[in-house]
Amino acid sequence: MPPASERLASLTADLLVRDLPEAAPHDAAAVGRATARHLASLPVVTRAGVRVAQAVVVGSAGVLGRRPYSRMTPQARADVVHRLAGSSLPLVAEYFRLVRGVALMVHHEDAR
Amino acid sequence: MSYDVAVVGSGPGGAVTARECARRGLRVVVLEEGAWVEPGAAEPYSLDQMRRQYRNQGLTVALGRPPVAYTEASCVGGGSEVNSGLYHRVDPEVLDEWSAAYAIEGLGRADLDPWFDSVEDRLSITTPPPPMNAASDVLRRGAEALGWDGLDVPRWVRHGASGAAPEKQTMLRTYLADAIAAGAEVRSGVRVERLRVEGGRVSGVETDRGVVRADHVVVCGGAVQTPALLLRSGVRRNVGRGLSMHPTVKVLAQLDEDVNDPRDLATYQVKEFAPAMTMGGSAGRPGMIALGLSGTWDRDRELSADWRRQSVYYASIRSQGTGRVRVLPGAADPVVTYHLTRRDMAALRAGLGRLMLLLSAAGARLQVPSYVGAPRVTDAGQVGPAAEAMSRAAAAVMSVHLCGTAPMGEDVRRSATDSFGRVHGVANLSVNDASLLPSAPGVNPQGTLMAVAHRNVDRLLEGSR
Repeated sequence: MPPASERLASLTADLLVRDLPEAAPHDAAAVGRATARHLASLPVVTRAGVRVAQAVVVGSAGVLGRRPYSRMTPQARADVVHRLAGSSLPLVAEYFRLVRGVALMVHHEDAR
Repeated sequence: MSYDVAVVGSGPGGAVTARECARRGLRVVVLEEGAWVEPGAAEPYSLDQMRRQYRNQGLTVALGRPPVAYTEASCVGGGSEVNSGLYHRVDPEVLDEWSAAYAIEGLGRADLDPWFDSVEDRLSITTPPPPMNAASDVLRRGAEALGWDGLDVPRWVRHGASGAAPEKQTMLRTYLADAIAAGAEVRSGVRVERLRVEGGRVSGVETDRGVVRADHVVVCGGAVQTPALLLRSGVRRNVGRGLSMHPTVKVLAQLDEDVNDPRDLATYQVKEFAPAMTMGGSAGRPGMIALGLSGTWDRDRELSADWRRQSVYYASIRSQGTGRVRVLPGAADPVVTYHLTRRDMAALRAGLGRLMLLLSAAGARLQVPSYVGAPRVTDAGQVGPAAEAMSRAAAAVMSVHLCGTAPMGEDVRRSATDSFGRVHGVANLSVNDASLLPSAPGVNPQGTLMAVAHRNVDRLLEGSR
């Protein structure tokens, strides 16, 4: 999986810690990977836009968490991602709307 | 290999074209980018179906504020393999409106009626026998309580033995099967990169598997892929502009009884405000229910467990806005934009409000409009504020029924083709799909575009005699 997709999978799994608290960590990680694979099929221009938004998300997470996203503890990542997903920041809010929608579809459909 | 006719795209327009050409003894090849998936092999409205039969796995969006999510099929048979199979004849006033605006010849209701008859016969158009499914009955109850007009919409299905699921009469089961029986060749998984156009004629198409030569090329890729292919091929006059669609907003309604059949959707439509606005039912699988609640997930995630008592309903409008399909050098996917006007946004809010009133009248105890931060609606008094609160930033708008990106007509300043789909300025190139319809017609357009496609290919074949 390309690095951008791996990061997307990680952000999705962090989002699901609060969105689907009943999901076990390995299930959330699996949904994260499936979501990243699904979003890899976005049209070229939209995919580029999502990558830009993701860069803003990761940067914002670093500011909120006071350390780079990749060096945060899992709990800190989940807290920061939950706050960002609830924000109305341009790009950040749209990014999490897209990711949350696809992740919920994947969770409910692939679990059946 | 050389053919008399190369048809690009195998959806309803392409299937009609291929069948009629093959039946007249022409050597026909149909080139389809998507896969061959047998009808019924993918569960209807499922994520699996999105992955196998939709372009970009269903993740296509028209950029704008708000963006408009839309879907395009990408499989042999096109949209007919994945849509709900609801059938309408277009309102004659819409035909008159198109004919006047684009100087289209021979597009009156009387001109099209024989072709509608032919389509209805082949697709076995029928109104499902009673009883209505539960999700439909919610709409019927609400409409009757409010005195609003509505109908159980006919579908292209064949009803088998009692208890057996109805069999949808998709293109693979009907027109494409006929085309193949008449000798047409259908090649799936073949992407047409561009048309070979030189000196006002097309000599064939360049695909990812090589060149296919043909005396006549008919492009039937749908309202996004058809203009994208024409633009990539240097055919630009009035191509790609004028994208029209039915912007749609949704509401999740919870009833006292089980209403959700994940394999099907409501076939009843409320027509009190048609053709400007239609209300109906959407797919309601658990994943779709969760998606409908995603804008208010922190508050509403517990609701999704009760999905059997929930269904998703929509209000769609005839839009005043317009969009565009563009191509970027080196990019495989076109860029699609759409602008919703203020009137569109007002109409969508009005639609949302009317839909919630209807669902309240039908007995919905709880409603959640599908936009970010929407309130829960538990009585009719909350409907107005909930509808008015839908801003551009919060709105979740989607659409199907894309049209208008290569409009037909004799007015060369506005149209891309003549009244019968022949591209202006390229002698042996035609378009025969929803791109020709100047605007989204206010009803599910497949029947209309198939009748128009029949009419066009008949004229084309008359000219070739």
